[in-house]
Amino acid sequence: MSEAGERATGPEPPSASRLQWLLHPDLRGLGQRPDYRFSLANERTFLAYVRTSLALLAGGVAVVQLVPRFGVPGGRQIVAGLLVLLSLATAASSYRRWWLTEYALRHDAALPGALLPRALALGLVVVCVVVLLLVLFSAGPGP
Amino acid sequence: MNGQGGGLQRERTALAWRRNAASFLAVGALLVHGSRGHVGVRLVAGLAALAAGGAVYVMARLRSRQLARLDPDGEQFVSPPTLFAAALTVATLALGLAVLVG
Repeated sequence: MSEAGERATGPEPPSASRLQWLLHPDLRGLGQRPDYRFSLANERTFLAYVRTSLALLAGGVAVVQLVPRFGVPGGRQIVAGLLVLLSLATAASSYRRWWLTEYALRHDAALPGALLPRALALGLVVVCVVVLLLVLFSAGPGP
Repeated sequence: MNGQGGGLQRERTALAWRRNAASFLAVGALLVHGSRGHVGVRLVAGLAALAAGGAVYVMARLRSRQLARLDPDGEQFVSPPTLFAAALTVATLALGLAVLVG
């Protein structure tokens, strides 16, 4: 039974060309058939990233549509912009990450690194800080 | 290999696709609501998102059927849904760009 899913580190997968995920996305025939459970888990992870992207997008839309003005001019636009950019970055990275993981599973090798999760976490922290500042500096007479 | 485990895995994966369909519908509804009937980027993006939600739901059904053919105790393997995944990514990106620009 493959242990690819249990091993976070391991040999580097045989190098795929830089744009193989984009130009030659068909994974059939590459490497060996992986354990279907890991393949399905990878699929669910990808779907979770897409849902995260859509949730961030909904947040960005809601901030300009539903949230009353902050005291700071342009505040909502800044927050919305950050959220939408985060949404785009997550969506853009998600497919490649899914592809690289599937590739690694097929070669029983190390999974892709933590760049996307870290970037996402950092982005969310930035958004939270911005919102906190806007809320703090908006204290005063109502909208 | 545990037959029950395989069944649950398939169920979770099918469910994950349906949850994504719901996410598109939610974003679409929000955009359509916010457009207040004015024809513009927001309304178009909202309607497109609703349509995408429907399309993803269809993908979910197709994927479920694909996965149902997978025998958890056997050697069968179902190919990764590359086309569906790519379509999903493109739809999400397009929606994000429309919102950013609109």
